[in-house]
Amino acid sequence: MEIDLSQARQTFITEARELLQDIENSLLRLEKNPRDDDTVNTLFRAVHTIKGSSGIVGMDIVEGFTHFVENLLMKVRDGDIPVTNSIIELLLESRDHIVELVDLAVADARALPRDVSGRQAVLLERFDAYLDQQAKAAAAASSAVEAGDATGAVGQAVSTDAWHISLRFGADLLRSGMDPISFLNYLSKLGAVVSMLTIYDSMPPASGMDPESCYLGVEIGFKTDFDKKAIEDVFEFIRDDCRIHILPPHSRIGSYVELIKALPEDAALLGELLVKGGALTQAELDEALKLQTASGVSALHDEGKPLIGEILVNKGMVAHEVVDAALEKQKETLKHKSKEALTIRIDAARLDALVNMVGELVIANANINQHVERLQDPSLMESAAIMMRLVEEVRETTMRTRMVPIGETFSRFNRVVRDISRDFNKEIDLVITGADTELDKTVVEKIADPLMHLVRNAADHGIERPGDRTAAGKPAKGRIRLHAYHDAGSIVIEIADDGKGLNKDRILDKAVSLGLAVPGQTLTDGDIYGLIFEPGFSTASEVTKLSGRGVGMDVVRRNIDALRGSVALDSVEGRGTTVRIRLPLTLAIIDGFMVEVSESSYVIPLDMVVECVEMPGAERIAARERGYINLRGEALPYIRLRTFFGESAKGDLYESIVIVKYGETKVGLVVDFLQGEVQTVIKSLGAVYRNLHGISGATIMGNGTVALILDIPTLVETVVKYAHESGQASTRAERTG
Amino acid sequence: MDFNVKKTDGVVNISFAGEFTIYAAADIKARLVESLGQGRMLDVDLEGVTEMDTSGVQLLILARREADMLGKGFRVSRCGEAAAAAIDVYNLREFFNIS
Repeated sequence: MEIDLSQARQTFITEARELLQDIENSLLRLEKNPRDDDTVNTLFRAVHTIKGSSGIVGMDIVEGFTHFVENLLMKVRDGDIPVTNSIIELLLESRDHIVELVDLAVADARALPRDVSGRQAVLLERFDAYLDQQAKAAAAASSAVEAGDATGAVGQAVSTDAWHISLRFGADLLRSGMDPISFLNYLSKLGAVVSMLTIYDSMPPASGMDPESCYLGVEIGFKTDFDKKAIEDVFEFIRDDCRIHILPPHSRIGSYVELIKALPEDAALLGELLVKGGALTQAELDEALKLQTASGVSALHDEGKPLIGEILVNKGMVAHEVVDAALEKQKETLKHKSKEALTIRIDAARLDALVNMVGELVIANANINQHVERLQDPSLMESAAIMMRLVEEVRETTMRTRMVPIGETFSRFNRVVRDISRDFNKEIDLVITGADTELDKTVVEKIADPLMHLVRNAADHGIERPGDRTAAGKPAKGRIRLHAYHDAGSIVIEIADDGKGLNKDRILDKAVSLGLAVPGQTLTDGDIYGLIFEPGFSTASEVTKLSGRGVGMDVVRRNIDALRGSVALDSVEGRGTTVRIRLPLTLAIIDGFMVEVSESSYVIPLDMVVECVEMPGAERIAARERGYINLRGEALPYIRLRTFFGESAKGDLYESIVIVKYGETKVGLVVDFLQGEVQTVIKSLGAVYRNLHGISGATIMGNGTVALILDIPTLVETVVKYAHESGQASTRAERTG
Repeated sequence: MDFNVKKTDGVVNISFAGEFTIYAAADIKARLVESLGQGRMLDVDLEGVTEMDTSGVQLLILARREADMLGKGFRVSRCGEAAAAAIDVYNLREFFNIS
């Protein structure tokens, strides 16, 4: 049972987070188009589902507040409250508050921390302003919330999920041969009586008591799957002789107030009984009693007798709620079913296990292929080829199951941009393109924070105020563009703004003063902007002032590095800034190109290989002098892997060059032999080898030996840097020579 | 309905047998009120009760309340199946000090 519940909790948490995201998106949509009824309905359903499921998994703190939001939304949906900016603001804040409540509930918090409850009280107070009829009474009541209680004010539902049945038996009931016991026994067959309180206050003292009259009443808490009609039918025969009130689960506190008023007994006593029976919590009772003393409601009931009209209205309202709930439930089920048919939820750990297994399968398959090659049996080769193709397909399909579109992550930024625009009086459009671009789920999760940071930077520091923009001849409304696309085995994410851009000279000055650059040093634009990502650079407060950038940019780069990605920045002063992030599509399996250097095997990610060329002897000598190779007239920097890894030179006459490309840069890697394409499963090297330069991982080959995977981005960087220095040296040498 | 009253050390023990229902209600009420006046503690034995209805339960409530008002003790010392069933419907086991 406990396991079931914890699973349900897990499902709830995942679902709730998704729904809360939906809620945010819907609210932002609604802000743009306040008349969008579909969005209001979506919103309502999402809130309703959170409320319902949080109740099921016992997260009362979430349920209590969410119910209140739902009530408000119900009024919006029914058109009682118009969609205004202020209500969207309130709902957005409430949504954030629910996020916080969910987090607290996940952390098993039983009570709200003071600041959270304070915030909740303020929110509830603002809610009350919208709930028209009892607005005044509510304002008075909501102050009670400040005590740190999760319960709310007037229109709020009580937390119990049981029906409340209140019966006062008629005096002549027993005399006419009816015994309430039989009805109560029958009732208990329809569900579970969770509480039963017998009321005998109307019974006179012994001297005046007629033993054949009935003076009793009961207050029953009742859980059942039957509807109100079925419960009413139980008391069909005694209905004319008795006072019967049936409140559905989660009725408003107001309904209880009316109930208390409708009953002949003293309100305080009744209230206490209701609390004792579990129908109301103490806090709810306090609310109810306050409401009762508030003007308006109690004026109708001064004589303490039930007003038939009032009860009827009450009943009518109750029935309406019940019908509504039933309809809602039906809709939910339908929606749920159609959704279920399209997608299923899978534990990420299971997928990981599958990916691992597929990885092993790929290795095993490579092993078989080696033997097949050796045996040279035609039919065996054919079978092996089919098998290889299938394994490849299995691998691809498996990897695809882990792919998710990046759009979901992008859409979170709508809110960020909106909030910043509002807080800083800016006008910013967020344009999202390429939202369908897919990448590995783990990558998506890890990229969200760095992206958030970059977007915030762009909105906060990049885009100028409308006045400044028009003065600079730009449209008053700024624009941030998020764009994602696939390129050469990686995914590229661009965050571009049309703001004020970066001032190169100032960055350079700053870098020099921090000792990150030397005065007079020739740096490319890319190098200069790259300085922003240096750790020391970012924390300096002046940088934020002068360039408007840099807070935590080193953290951004670290996160991206950890994903085997890279980040580059490009900017035109006065025109805007573009940050380009390049990430691998997946972290687990790659297509590789195997090469041999000094009898060791190395794997180059195939996506990065442009071509392979031979290096004839004459070219070798020339290249050694020039420091670059001549590829069909194009000068390419190169590196000799043998030298790079410190292997002893054997002086072979024959070498091959693999041309690799990373980003915009091409370099040549000189190797001994080319061995061809392989599928490899990346195994991380472990903590000891983490700082190994030029190696990003290892893989196990079919024959059981280990091949190292080359870290092409690092290598390219090294080669370019080295070529730049030696290139300068050699040009000088040529001139002097 | 049959009943039997015993007194020991100020405790009045009244035991009922048979129907404890509206048909005997007037009688039961009289016995209970009468017994209450005879000691400092009323001990009701319902072991022999074969049938109890709402009016029976209501009379026990009356007795219990009168005892409170007179400052006397009240308990149901023994309780047969029929009586227990009726008392349980109203959730009064505790109220009647049934052990």
